[in-house]
Amino acid sequence: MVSGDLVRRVLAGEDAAWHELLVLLTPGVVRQVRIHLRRVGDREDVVQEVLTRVFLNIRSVREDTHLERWVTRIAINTCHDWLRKMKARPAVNWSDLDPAEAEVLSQSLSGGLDAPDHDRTALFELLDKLLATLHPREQIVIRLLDLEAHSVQETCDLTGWGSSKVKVTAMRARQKLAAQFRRLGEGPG
Amino acid sequence: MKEIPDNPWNQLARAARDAPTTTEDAPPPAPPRVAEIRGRVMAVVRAILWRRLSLIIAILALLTWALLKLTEPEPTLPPLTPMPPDLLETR
Repeated sequence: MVSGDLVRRVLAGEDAAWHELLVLLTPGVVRQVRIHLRRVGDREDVVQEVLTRVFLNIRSVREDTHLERWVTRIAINTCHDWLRKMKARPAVNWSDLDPAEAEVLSQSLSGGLDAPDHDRTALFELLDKLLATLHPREQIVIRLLDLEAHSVQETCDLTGWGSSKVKVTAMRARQKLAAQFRRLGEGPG
Repeated sequence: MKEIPDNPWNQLARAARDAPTTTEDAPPPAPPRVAEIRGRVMAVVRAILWRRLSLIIAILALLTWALLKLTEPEPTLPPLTPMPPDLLETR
């Protein structure tokens, strides 16, 4: 927890306080970036970009600002900007999946995924491929709501977006995913 | 066409939430050397500033080159003056 005193010392330009703040904030930033960007190669760049934004904007923070939440928003918005630079995948086809991912998909389509013996790596790879077909904002919202199990209100707090925007975005994302599952359910052919 | 049970997405999302955490998902430890991180942040800031600075220099160089190019006098033929008579006589 970042104390108000630490923030005051940082705002006063104390070097040691800035170091202390980085130690406190970095794990949270890394965690957020890991949630939204599964590609390992991108993560370090984005963490650096988030810390740079924090460093450049720290003077705009008021003393009563909840600093962790402010940094989380910066992290999520930076991930959002990063995802916008990526080209969205048009759709997932059976041919895009390796055998382990195809097996996980088959299990989910047949309702048999509840067994805990599925391949964890394949599960997350499949999720990434499916989510990569969504718009960046939809990816952020669906990961927070469905994969991180945050409530709508928590998602609003984390992203700074309004509740109607979050709900509509989530609804559209789930409709797109459902359409993909319908298409994939027709089989590899 | 196969029959699809309700909402495969919910199943995938639930499976992802229930998946055991690995070392990759564990909260990362605090950075061992904060000074190193600060140095890296400063390096990124310097890189951004340098990129902007180099862009400005490049634009200025381009403008200077364009200005010099525009104000450069057109190459003209030497004036066709008649040769002095004494020079003609010597030939």
